[in-house]
Amino acid sequence: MAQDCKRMLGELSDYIDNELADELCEQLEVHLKDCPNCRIMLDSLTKTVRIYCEDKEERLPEALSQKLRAACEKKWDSKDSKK
Amino acid sequence: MSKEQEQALIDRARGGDRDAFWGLVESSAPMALRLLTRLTRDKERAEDLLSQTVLKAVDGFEKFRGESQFSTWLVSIALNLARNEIRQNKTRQEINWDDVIPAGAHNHGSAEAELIEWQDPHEVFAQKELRELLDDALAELPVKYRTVFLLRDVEGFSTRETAKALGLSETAVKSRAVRARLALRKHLTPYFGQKEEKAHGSGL
Repeated sequence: MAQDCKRMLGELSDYIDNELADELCEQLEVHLKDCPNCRIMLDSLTKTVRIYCEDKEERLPEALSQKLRAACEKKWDSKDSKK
Repeated sequence: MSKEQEQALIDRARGGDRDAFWGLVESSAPMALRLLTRLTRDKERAEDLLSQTVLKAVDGFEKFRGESQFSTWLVSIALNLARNEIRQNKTRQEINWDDVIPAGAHNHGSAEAELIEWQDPHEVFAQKELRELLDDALAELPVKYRTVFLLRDVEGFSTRETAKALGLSETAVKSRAVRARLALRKHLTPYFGQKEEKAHGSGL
């Protein structure tokens, strides 16, 4: 593997996160233009992160929510009775 | 929920308003449940751990000082419980990923192999199969990498928030996140890689 690629590989993750310093960012982008392997690495790493973010359940199942709320009420009652 | 809305609920909950506390739980618990489910790979265990988490939060709410978001605090309770349980009930043999990603290599190692262009995973697999495949790949990561990946990349925590939730340095979070990403990418490439297109060059 080319030394340049090895070095750039270390920066790809920060690049995906937009956390790469400006100067390094420019160097990386110049390198990416000429390096198909690093472009593949960047693309597949980005897709790895993205694909895991999809399809997220944003609400608790109703039955679980009710069970949890009931358990909380019981806990609060018990705490209040000790005061 | 905005920061201001969260702060208003925290203030009311501190004054003993149960509905306000429940509002905080309702907004953070789905994330905690997602994390627990993916860490344990067992829906019932995850739900049980979530119950324990929420009850611990009720008990310890006086100690919540508001230095982090409520969700970060709740998730850190959930992760501690999950890690303890996983340690006690180790049922799955994890692959030794240090063979794949040498500990000395910050983010290189052989995990960069197989540079093959990826297809759109949705074109290759049906949703259910895809979900199973992703979960299988994740389950083979050691817990310390899996947890960082889930918080950082799946739930969108910042490096700082992840470090706070896990009691790690930001450098450690970054290093683990990179290794997790490379390992998952390597694991998934045989499934998503375009078979007919080989890597350019041979040195990678």
